[in-house]
Amino acid sequence: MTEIIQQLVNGLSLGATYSLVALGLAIVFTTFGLINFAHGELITITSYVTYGLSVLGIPWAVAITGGLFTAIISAILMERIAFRPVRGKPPTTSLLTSFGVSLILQALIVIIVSPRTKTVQQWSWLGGSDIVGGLVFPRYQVITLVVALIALLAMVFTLKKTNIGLEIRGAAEDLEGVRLLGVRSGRLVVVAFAVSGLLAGIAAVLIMARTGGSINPHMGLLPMLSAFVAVVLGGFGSLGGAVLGGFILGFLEVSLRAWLPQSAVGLTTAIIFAIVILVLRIKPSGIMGKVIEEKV
Amino acid sequence: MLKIDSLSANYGQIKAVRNVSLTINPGELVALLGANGAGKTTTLGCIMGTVPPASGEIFFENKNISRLAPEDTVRSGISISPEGRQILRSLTVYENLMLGATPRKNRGEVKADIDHMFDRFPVLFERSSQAAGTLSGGEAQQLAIARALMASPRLLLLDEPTLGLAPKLVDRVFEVITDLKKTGLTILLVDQNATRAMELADRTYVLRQGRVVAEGTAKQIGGSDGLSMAYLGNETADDVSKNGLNSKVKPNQKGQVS
Amino acid sequence: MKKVAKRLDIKRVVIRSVLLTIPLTIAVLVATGTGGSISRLITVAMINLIIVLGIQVFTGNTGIVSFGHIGFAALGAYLTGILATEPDVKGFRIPDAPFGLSKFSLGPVLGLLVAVLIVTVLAFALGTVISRIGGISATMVTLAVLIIVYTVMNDWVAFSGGAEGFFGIPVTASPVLVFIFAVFVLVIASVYKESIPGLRAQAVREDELAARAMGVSPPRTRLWSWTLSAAIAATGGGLLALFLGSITPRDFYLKLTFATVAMLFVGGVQSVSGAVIGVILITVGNEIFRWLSNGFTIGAITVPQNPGMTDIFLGLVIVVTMISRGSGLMGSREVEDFVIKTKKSTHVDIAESRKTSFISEEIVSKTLRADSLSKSFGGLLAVKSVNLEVETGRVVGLIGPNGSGKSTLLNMLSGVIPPTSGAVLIDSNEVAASSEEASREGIARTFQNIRLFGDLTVAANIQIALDSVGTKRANPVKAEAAVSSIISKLNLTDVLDRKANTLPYGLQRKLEIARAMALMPNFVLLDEPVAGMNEVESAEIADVIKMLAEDLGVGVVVVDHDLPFILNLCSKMFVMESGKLIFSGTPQETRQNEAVIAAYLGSGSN
Repeated sequence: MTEIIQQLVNGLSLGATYSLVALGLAIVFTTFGLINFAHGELITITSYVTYGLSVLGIPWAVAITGGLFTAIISAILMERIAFRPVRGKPPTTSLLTSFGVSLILQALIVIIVSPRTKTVQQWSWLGGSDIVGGLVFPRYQVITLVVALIALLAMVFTLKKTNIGLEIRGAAEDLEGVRLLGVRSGRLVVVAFAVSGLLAGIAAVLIMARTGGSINPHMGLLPMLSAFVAVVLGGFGSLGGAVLGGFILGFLEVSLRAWLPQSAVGLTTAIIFAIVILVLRIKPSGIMGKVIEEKV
Repeated sequence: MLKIDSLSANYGQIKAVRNVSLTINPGELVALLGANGAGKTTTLGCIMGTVPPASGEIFFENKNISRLAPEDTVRSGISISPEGRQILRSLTVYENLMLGATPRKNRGEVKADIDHMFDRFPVLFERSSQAAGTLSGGEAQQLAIARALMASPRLLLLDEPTLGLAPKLVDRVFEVITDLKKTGLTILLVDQNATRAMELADRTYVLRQGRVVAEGTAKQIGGSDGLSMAYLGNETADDVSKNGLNSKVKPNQKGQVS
Repeated sequence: MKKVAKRLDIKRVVIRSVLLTIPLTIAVLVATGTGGSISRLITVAMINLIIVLGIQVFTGNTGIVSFGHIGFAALGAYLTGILATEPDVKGFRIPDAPFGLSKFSLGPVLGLLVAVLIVTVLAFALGTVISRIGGISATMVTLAVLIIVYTVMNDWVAFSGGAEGFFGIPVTASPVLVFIFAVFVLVIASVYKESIPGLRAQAVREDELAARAMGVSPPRTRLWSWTLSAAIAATGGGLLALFLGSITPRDFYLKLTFATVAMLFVGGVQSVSGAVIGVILITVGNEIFRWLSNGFTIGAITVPQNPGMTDIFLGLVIVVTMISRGSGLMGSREVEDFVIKTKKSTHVDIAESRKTSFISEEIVSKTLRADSLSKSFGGLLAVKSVNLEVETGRVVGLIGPNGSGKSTLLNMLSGVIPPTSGAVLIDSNEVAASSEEASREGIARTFQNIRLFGDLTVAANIQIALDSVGTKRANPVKAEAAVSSIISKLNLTDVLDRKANTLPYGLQRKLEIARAMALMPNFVLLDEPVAGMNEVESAEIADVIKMLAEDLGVGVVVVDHDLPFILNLCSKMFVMESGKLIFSGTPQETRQNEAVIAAYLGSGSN
């Protein structure tokens, strides 16, 4: 029982992290039809900036803030440089463009920093454990869970209760339609990318906490791929689906890692993705995806 | 207030609007009529900035708005209730109204205006927290008009507000338009209920194959007989067949923005 | 009697293959002549070409970007390697391999064959999922496939040897052997692109809805393309294993994915020639940047060693290709396009009697009937219990104001959307609500907003319809004859070799009619056939429609807003308003009916 609750907390915390990444992808896709394969590099960039600032002896709170800020700026720059020229083209075009951007960014980190794994000096308060209701949890898990849930709730609040959130949801349904209501698409695209950058940045911090601060130039890849798979599983074009997909993937990963025999733990990702493919076999449009009737 | 000067616009390979000039004075209700594919919706698209004009200029309050993006057109004081209503189905009625007020700054006034809309369209009040996708056609149309009004426009474009509605609801929509006219709002109305729209309007323009073929008051156009003549060419509906293929080009539906 | 288009343009395939074999021949001569690292570089490039062509067969024809093919190449390589390697060598690396794999060896030839076979079967199974998804989601799933394969090769140590890789594979693939395979695959990719299955895949890529209306099943078409392409990619992987003698999971992961994507898109994903050009450009560019990244000194400036330079080169190539044109250097052109001058087709002989139906020897008499068809969209009744019928050999008109439900009715009749209630009947047999089914049952249609296969030639547009359905519904010879006469009647003869999207508007409309007729239908539904046409063209279309009905015995339903045109043309009119049928009768009666006039001028609502 104890173990189950601990796994549950772990699953929630990982799921919430994936949800943040997936939500960032989904916001950019649903509003502007752009697929950002370089989304994972936002995670990498945040981590390296946080690492760089920590190495300089800057306090962790400032280092993290700097990382998040860089993620937002990088996301906005990505839109300017790589996505604006391909707006309105099919999603495949933006996918491939961002594919190239991703490759360039990874290479730049290799050239500027190092191809090797670096370790962000552990913030002492991340170690240790907390006792909640008589159960012991690693502190990083508790913190990850709390932060991720706060970030998700803040996103839900923003989307549901603020004007900009309303504009994003409106644009997700019909971009041209909301422009006819006075929504500025130029501003909205900046906001959408900034939000996706911020979410990726927060996820980066949580991932660093989870992995003990170990970072490398390709660290953004797997979270980004998992987030993509989460988005497809949840249903392309649905913001709620992205969050749901993220949680499902997180739970699957945690439970497989716990229950698989040691020799097969390495296959976790493969098994999860295979399960997702089986689900799509039954429901090709994803869990919350709707089949859109094309206008003839 | 609005002045369209020799406007032409293409849609794909079709010349949808040819050399159209049109004026709307403050406080007027002007009807823009014509058969399907005559170029009405394309004209509205040019005004709103969703269709780029091939040539010609559009002035609103003496400002050239011909090349403005849709969002900037709305911000300069023109709102549209688009053809097919185009309400945001996944958002609630209230949220649709809020989005309609996007260009406005003062949130307090916006809230007050929403209450005002609920007074004017009681059915929207009843459904304010429902997803707009659950509304019936008549309700959705009222929402589309209310949403357009939320931007406090000085000119309101209504594109086919009665399309696909049952007769009773058509009456209701015309009632709403009549009320709006009484408030002194300037309106450009496109509707298939041509006779009725013409009778309600101060002045009417009739388009055929992208050109203005008749304009003036209902009297000047000659009532519904005059209207059918303008619609169908130089003959009345009864002897269309004699002249057979008398028209040069018939723009198709692609020539419209939907 | 000239055929519409040859079923497979052999000449094109031969010229293309010969032209593209020239650089390969030079390469293989250099490889065998030099040996060493240059020989190795060239051979690996030719293997990359095989893999890239594999991806091209799928991505180029279906338009779905796939990352999964690198996974198939990996599987092909590992399976070939493991099956080909001697037990004593294997026993050392993977003593506990499943299925007793460490106990036997098939040798390189059989090993490669069996490996490709296994991958093909696996790919087929996976394809049943991916082909149904389609679009960008399918791309994401192919990405998942790549990750799955990589993870399995990396972590299933007992099978693959794990991250350190698998080695000791007998090095049996020579540059010449790889060259032979590359040429073979080149021919296959070219044949596929020009053949009917390939054209079908391209039709689905261009317009899925129209493809279905031509009887083409998008999932099935994608599935075959996927399976064939996976087999080619697996062959490439297998050859790499047999050439290098050792493989690691990393050899088939992101680096190769990025490189093959760059090769594929810089040359033009829709072009087989583009694949060859892309492989050459990227390989050469990569070598230059590899050399630069080793560090060099120009005068006083010393550039230090930079291992990431080649990645930046690849990334820039991809970004620039996508931002600039997106279609690569070749677009959808091929090398032979620069050699063959498109000649004007000769006029088609239409002496053959047209006074018979092309369905059978006599004119068949059938009736297409809408039996109280209703359709509601989210509670909104768009069509309310409409009855309509048309007999073969007759032309009926369907009119009504905008939004009255005409298009929805036409969509139900042609199986594009299923009715909420009611049925579509031919005589007394119900027609299943799917476009593919409707086309096979003899119901063809055109679309209001023109849905041609824009990037395909006029001939290919027609050929797809003819081969998918037409020749199965009618005597093939008669079918071709009938189509030829329609082509000539519609003045399409001179433009058969042109791409559909380069035609002027009027001809595009005509091509849509010709393509619908190539299904050899009993009934054809024309959605606004003269919209945007001038007087002369309208009259021509009217003549064609009369010919379809009177000479070919087809039942025609015409929707149009041009009242003079439609009232002149039809023998019977149906008028809709607000989803209901408000009137049916002769054109004369229609003209005089108050309700119809009211519906058009809108005073009826009072």
